[in-house]
Amino acid sequence: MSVDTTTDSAAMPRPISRRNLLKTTGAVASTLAASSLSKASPTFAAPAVLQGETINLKYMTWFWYEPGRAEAWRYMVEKFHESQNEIRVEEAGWPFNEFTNNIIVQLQAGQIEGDLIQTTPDLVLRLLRAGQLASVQDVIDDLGITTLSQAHDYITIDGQVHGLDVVTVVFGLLYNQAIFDEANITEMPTTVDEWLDVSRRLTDRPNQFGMHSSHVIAEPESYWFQLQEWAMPYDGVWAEGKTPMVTSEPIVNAVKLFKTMYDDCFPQGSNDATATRQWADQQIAQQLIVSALVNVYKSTAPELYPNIRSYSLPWPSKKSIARIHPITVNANGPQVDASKEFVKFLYTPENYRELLTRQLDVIPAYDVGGLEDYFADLPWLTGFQDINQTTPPDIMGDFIFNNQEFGQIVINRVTEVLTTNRPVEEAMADAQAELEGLAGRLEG
Amino acid sequence: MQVQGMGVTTRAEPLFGSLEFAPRRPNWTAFLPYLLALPIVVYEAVFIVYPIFLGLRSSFYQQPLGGAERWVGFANYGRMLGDAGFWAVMRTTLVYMLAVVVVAVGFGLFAALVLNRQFRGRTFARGLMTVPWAFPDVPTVLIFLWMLNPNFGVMNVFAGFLPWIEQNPTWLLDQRLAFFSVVLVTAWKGFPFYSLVILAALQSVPADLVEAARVDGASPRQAFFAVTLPVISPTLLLLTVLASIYSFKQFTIIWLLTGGGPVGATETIAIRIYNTAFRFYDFSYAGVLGVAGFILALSVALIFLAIQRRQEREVS
Repeated sequence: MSVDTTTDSAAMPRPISRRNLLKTTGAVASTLAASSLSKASPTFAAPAVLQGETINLKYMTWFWYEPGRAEAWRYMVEKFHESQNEIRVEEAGWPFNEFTNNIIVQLQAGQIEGDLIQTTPDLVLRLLRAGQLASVQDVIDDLGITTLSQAHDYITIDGQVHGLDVVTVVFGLLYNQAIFDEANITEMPTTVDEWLDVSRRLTDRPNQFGMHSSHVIAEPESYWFQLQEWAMPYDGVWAEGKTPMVTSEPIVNAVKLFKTMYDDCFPQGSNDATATRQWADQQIAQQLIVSALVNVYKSTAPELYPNIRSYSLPWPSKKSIARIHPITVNANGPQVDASKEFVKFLYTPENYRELLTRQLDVIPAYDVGGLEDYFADLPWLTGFQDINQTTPPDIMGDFIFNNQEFGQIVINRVTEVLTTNRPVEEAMADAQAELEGLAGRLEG
Repeated sequence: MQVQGMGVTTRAEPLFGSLEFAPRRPNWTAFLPYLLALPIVVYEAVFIVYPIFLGLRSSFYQQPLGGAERWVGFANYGRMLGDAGFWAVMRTTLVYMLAVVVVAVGFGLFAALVLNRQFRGRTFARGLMTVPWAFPDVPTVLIFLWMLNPNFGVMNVFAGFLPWIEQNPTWLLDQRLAFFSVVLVTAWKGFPFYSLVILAALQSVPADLVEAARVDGASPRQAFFAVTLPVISPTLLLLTVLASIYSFKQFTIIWLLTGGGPVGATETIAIRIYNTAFRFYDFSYAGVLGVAGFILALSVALIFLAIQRRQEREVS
């Protein structure tokens, strides 16, 4: 996967566009306004932060809409406000499903409104390539952090990291201990075949389902988000560079496994909302899902939470997708320095530790220490600790910028396999042909 | 006399010696209609025409995210015409439009004929019929999602009465069933409106004409086809166009029920445009698809106008 650094806005002259014209006009207007003010008042206008004026920062994130996580972030913002008087952080953004779209639309329209922008693994790359992100390397240097996770490598250009992870989510196998106990399953699966066998034993349709993963085409984002992980049991990648790999043996095997689980164990046709309800009602035994959901379950299904456990992934490599969600600073925003102050506050070891524990996250972005007691109190954690991390760019190659389009092609064909019993090889061959067409249109 | 205005200056001798007429005052009332129309014209220019123009313009450019746009001429159109997916979407759109028109207007006509008859509780029945139309789209779809759930949906019970159904149908995962379900929900949502309009038209059918046909020995069916249908046919034609437009621009129901799937079985042009622009971020190509959609919608409207004019000519 390559990141095109030549599109850096500072390094590359651009032809006049409507956006640039508006920018220029705005700048000229600002200059004229400033010059007229300076005639009236010859005093030097220092930056607001030096004048003791309050600076308001817009932090655009979907966290405000997530039960559990929202409270953790509001607590941290409040703590930041108490620690100083100059900078105030305001809530902004949209729920997760709308978030990336709205940011992209703002970017396309010419300007992102936020000072701080929460990103996903895909979005951070898009913003980076569009020259929207300020380096936050100085934050890391000031704090003396030397153990930043390698997951930041793909957003590091010329030694400058352009975002700092505040939530790493990793896929693991969550299960409901009560259902396992009832079925008298005490030995956890250690191979894919055993996993399949256990899932079948736990299925008693229509009352109980041994396994669930999103598979409803009307929810393409979560379908594809979860399906990507199914390549991990066979060490598969969906693409290498600009070459789709959906006809490779690992991916074909992955789709076959998904199909078998769908036929034998899934609550077929249950969308995300229904499946969440079924999981909370203890009708679903297992999910291959990200750790972050546990926090949601703790808030929305407190009676279920004590039963949630995880076990070590039943495939030899223990490979699993880890998705970092970096907080970034808008390079084109008016408050870059103040924004970095907030990021710096979050990343001090004490605050970072508190943020991590309040969010119920389990993978620190750097070696923050002092988490042993916290980890010991999370009975569902064990499976997530025994994981060999890989990142979305590692498995998506250059298609990371066209992840959703890639996913749509794949899930269309996988759905054919699920619902029409079309042979996997045949369906994936069609997907490969379509994806090769997409490869021809890849940007950059 | 010198008349000035509108860039024209003329000089004329007074007709009656020194008697000179006063210059004519402009008649401001003549401008009033334009003045009154101005707000809507400005509104349409800013919020409808300008965005259409921008969409049209974007179809000739390629613009990477955050980057400068680049003129590509008709390249995006070439891509669209060679895109098998586009033609599949157009076919789905037309079939979906046709299916919704037939089911919604057909059922609306049937309901109107029933409700036009005298029976006890007719007023209540008429009120009840408007319920689907009054419901917002999103809760309607959510309820249908539950009803169509293969595990516990109530539709499985009804399907179970059919002798050849052995397993619960996967309503929204099977391609044909998904299309059927989407058409059904769209028609269910829209038919009350058509029914009410047809009901109003039915009440304008002269009762003595129907009575005369019956006296002449026409059966109810013959009276309907010979008298009632010709009278309400302009209304039916209008509703056909309205239903076409309603189904053409339908997004919410399809998106929430199936997202355009499975395997594109319910992907109409509106869904494809949304996917292309807001999921795949290919705004230029979405612009081209928008133009194609615009042409399709315009064609429907023009066909309607042509048929209407022809009918007017025949009547006159």
